[in-house]
Amino acid sequence: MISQVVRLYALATTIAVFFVLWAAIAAHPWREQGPSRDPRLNTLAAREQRLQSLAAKISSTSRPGEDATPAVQLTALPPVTATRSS
Amino acid sequence: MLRHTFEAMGTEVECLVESDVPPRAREALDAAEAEIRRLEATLSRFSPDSELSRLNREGRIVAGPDLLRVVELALAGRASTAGRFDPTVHDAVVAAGYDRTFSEVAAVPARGSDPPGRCEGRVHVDRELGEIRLDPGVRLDLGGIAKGDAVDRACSLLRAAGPCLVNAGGDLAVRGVPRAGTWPVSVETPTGSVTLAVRRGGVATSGRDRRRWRCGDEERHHLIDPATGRPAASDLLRVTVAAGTAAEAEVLAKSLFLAGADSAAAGCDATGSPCVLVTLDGRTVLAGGLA
Repeated sequence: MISQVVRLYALATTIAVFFVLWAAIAAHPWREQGPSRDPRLNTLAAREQRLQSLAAKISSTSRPGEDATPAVQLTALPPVTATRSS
Repeated sequence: MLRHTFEAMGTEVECLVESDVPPRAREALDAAEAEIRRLEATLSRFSPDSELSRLNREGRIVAGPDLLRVVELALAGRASTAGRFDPTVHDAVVAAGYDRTFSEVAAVPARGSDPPGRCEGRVHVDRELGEIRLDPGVRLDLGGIAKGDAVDRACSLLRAAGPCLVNAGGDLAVRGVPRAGTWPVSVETPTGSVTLAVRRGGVATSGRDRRRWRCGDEERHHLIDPATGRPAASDLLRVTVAAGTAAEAEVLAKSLFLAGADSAAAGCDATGSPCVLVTLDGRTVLAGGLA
């Protein structure tokens, strides 16, 4: 006659094995590493990278608050001083 | 607009500041003048007591922060211009006859001597030790770049009182925007002048039309070609160019002068550096976005 304690251990072990198997199967170990992505996602990722690089370029040439007008232009205003050979 | 002028670094220095608090502006103008005089005392090759003269005599010194900074700026300028700008032209300038202050050279004809040849001496800077070491026979002339650096520093001090401009002969820097919106700066041309609206950064003019002298039958000037050790044979009379700072503009102006009109205009167009070139045959070329 099997004791109640042994039955209890058997039941607990069965439940534990069941969950371990479930987790192993749910992880799809047979599937290929680096699944092939939807080509539209690849296009989107490339576009995002291009935009990020463009944003970095713009922020490096025009800091926040900096005047976007050229540093030097021709003008018809009367001069306040003159530059000559130093 | 307050205007303050004085003689320093062998030229007339002009400081302009727009301020609603005149006492504060006068205090800042005094500080700007003191800074320029302090830097002149440190960086002049004509003063035997200057730190630069001591370096040229001894070849190796523990230098103060100003000499270290300007020497590093000059070496960076030499690297960025592939040697067209070179602080080691001291002996070549002296050989050309510019061996005293320019007012003395203009008053008494220069003797001059044989050019020392190519200027390519090595300069070693140890920033941690604060030491500058020159290879044997190498001496430095920091004339133009020291003036540009002094203008930049004086302008930064003056900025505390309001939008300002500092102009030392041809080296000029601005900080802040005046009520007029820009700083209009006149540039002489063979037919009159053009006016540049300067909003930020620095402008420098280099040419063979002012610091020139006669040595025997030959006319010489102070813009040395480091490749030959002689006054540069350029088709340009004068170059005015803008950059981020007056010191950078000074380096660029000398390099463009040596490059000649066509290369200078093409280079300025490629880099977007606004420049006014006046050629020996009387043409004015605008480049770098000004045309």
